[in-house]
Amino acid sequence: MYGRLAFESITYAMRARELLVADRQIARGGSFNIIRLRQNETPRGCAYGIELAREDLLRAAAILSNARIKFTILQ
Amino acid sequence: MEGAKEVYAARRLAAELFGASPERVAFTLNTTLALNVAIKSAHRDKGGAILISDLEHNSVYRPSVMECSDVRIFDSALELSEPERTEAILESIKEKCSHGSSRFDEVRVLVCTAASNIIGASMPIHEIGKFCRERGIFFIVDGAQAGGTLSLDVKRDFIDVLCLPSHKGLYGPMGAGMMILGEDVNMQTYLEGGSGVNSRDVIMPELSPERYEAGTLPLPAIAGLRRGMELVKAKTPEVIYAHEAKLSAYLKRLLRQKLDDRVKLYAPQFDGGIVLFSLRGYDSEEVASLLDEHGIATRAGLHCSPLAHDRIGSEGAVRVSFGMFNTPREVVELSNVLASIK
Repeated sequence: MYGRLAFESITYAMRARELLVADRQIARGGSFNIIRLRQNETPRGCAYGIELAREDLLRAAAILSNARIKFTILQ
Repeated sequence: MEGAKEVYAARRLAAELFGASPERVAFTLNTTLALNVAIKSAHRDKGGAILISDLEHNSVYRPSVMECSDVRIFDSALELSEPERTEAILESIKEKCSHGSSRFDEVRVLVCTAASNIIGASMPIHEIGKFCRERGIFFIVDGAQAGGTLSLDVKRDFIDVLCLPSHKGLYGPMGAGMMILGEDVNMQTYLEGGSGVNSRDVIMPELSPERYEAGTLPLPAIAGLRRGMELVKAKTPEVIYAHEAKLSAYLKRLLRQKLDDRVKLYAPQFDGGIVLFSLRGYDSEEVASLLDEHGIATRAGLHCSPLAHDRIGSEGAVRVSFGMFNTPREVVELSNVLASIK
């Protein structure tokens, strides 16, 4: 099962991807590709996401918070 | 997405070269636009007076004057050597900051070139940045002449916004520039338009860099800039600077030997890869035109820096600006052509 992280900046999405790909403890269950989120996932219209395994969401959130990268978790 | 990856790679490289993180690198179309955005956004936030150096290019002088009725100018102390020069510059800054009796007269924004585009003289950016940070003055640096040769670090040097071009010392094409923002800088926007994110919001995104990048980015220029920065990183700014300084010192020596008092060198004590001179009896444009006939490209006139020319007592001169690909042989050829002008 996958979850998504949403970003309001493609630059932040790319930075996040760099950090997550570099982390050895995160399972490689998701694609780590940066995707455009669907309009109904983004109330402010237009955002980017990274898809990853559900079990990695918590760790990913910690990594990104430490790096001061703003994100939202989409279940 | 491939285009976005290219842009991100360029951000990452710029961040590495200038002590920032990639999301603090915002692309513009050139340094002039970066400076306009930085100066006007900062002044609209902070108010007060704007302080600039007496060496500033019109891309600093003009937007400052259009934006603020109280633009003050501090002395670059060109006649002095270090460490007296830095002390004198800071004294001049302090003196200009202490004008006025109300908070509305305070200097809230200081803009300074890292190196003059007509004589290559560098400014003590670190010391000026420290001064500004201690007093809560927003510090903008024009890195147009220094980017790629002098060490500039946004964090280490207390810089709030560093503005840079693609097409000078970073060896990219014309058509791109950068604003590199300090970590906690968050300015009002000056340009608004499409941002690719949060499209339903009426205002620009909160997060940099998209906050400061309205409209389509100049992707081909950014891709070229990326390649240029890779070259600078591989060679290192220190090596490039040493090469340029050596060539400019060599040219000055040859001009003195071959032309004697027919040539006037301006501020020859600075070896920043630039030589500024005039030939007795010739307008600078005539000299540049004659050099052009020999396939030698220089620039004549005021170089969009009338303040700097006034400071050194020039009414227009010829500027030779060296890069990493110039050679000593070219210096000799240039001096021979100048010597042949009767």
